[in-house]
Amino acid sequence: MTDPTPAPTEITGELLHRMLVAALSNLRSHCEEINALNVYPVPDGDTGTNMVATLESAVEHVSVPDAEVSEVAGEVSIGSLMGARGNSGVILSQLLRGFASGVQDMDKCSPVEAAAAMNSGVKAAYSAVMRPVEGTILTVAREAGSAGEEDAARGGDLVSVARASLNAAREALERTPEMLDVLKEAGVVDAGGCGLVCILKGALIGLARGAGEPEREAVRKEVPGRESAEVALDNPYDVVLLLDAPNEPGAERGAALDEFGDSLIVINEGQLTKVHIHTADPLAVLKCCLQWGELVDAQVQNMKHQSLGQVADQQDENPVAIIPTAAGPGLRETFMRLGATRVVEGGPTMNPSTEDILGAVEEYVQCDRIFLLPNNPNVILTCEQVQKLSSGNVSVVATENIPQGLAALMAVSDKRDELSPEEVHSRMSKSVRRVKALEVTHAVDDRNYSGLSLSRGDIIGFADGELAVVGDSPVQVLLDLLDKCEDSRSHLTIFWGSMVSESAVQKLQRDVDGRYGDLQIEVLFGGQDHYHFIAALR
Amino acid sequence: MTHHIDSNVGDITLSDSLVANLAGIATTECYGVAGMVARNIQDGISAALGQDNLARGVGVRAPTDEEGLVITVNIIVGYGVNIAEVARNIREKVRYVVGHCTGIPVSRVDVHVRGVKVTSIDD
Repeated sequence: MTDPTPAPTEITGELLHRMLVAALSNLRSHCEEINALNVYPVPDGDTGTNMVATLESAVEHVSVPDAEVSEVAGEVSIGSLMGARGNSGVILSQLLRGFASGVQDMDKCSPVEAAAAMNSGVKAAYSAVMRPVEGTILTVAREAGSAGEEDAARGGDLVSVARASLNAAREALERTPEMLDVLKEAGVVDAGGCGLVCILKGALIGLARGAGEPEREAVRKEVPGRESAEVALDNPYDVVLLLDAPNEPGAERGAALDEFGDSLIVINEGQLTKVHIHTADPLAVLKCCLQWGELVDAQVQNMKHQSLGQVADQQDENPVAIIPTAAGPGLRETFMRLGATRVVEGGPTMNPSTEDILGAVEEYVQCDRIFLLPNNPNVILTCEQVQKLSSGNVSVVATENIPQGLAALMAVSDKRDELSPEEVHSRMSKSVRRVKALEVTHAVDDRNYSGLSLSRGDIIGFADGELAVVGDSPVQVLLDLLDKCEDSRSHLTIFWGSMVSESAVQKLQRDVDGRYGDLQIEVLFGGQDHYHFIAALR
Repeated sequence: MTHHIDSNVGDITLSDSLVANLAGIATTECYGVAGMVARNIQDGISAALGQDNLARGVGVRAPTDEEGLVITVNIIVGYGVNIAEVARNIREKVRYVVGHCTGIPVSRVDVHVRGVKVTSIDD
């Protein structure tokens, strides 16, 4: 089902645009952090905001995203020049201007050409200053550029060049306090440099994003977090709208929107009106705005998710991160309770994209090791793709189902901090083989399968991925599956899915308690779609 | 002209040229500034000033009817930058550095852009 998109080999105008949009999105989500770092040249805490404004203007200036790379880069260059704000914004505009001049007349560019264009950007940035100050975004850009060029010269592909640049940028950023005393005194790294790292990271994510996906920023999916670390936000959604609705003064609109949340800003720009608001009800805001006219652009971001990401960033004491894939609120919660660092949303018929997983992984690159638990045969490939793309140290424990993923997590949940990454890996891999996975679902069409003839709607039971039982009642099929298993097991955990009724669960509970009294039995809400029951037998 | 800071353990006197030097250094650290030029014709035609005499590109006044210093800087910008934004950055930087180092508030920073320096980025 999953189709890991092959990595692109050349940067087209469309890809460049996609990379910049992803870069902007990543920069935006780290904006406050960057602002907090800002002590040089003037400690006014606006570097992040300025860089976002600059890059925003650059991206918005692109008129035809699927044009030639030279054209898109040219428009980006002009947009960033016009929208440049602050020192780091001006520098960013020069980096983009140099890049544009490096890809002049090209309809697409190879890794070598892209790296050369990046360096032309660095050259442009250095040429517009009398006294380049080291330990700033300039240093970070230069190191990133030369690492990218070296990697391209060694024959690296786009992803590898982008990753080499990102790694070099990160290292250079870490060294900025040694180069600039004001940073050292304040105990921070350079804010502009940090912004550039965010941009490069976002660009890498954009590069990895599958072709054919919409190039606009998608509405972020909500990801469950650790409850204790959660930041309370009354109005968690950050909504930005662009309206084509000329016939009403901004102030009246502001008054009408005020009731929906806080941080409200309404700006009229000629024909267009820009609305920014933090709200608990993005749909109501949209509805209200649609009365006035046509929607040109809309973005909704969950700030709770963003702040969770930051909270997670701070918890980097933990040398190991474990990121499973699961669908269903109950299953996700169980994974989190057992110590998963974060859960990527996804499961049968809804496989996460490489980008989804990479985005999660990139939050934890500072960990010594990041373990991915695919929990589905189709997701294993995607995870392996992420392993190649990520700049972090990623290992994939090839779990094929939810029970294997849970077993892997349980094998290390109590003493993860004491184990080396290698020990964690070997414990998880071993535990996968000790668990028996039972899954109950329904046939989606008529077919012969393993010698059994199925009709659509039949309830079918799998034991470790092999079709074992066919029946018409989910509870009965699960009981039959359990009967077929050898009896050397001590623990049974059953997760019931979203389509199972309360009464069926009660019946199941009674039946298993009666029949398998010697087992320790837990029946939990999993909330997964498509699978009536998922059971782990240990 | 000098600027005084009074304290109960003795006076501190700051010269114009000190302030001008501080402002000059702050200006040249600003991104987009390719150089400074002398503030009037007598001080030389618009040749870029060296690191040692940046102060010649800076004017410092302390008007009696205004609180704080009025500083004028004469610059050359690099080609291809947003000049208005660079000028704004210079204003912030100079105000911050001079204010921070001397304790004397800066009421105005006027930026005169006297030229543009073109550097090829393709070579």
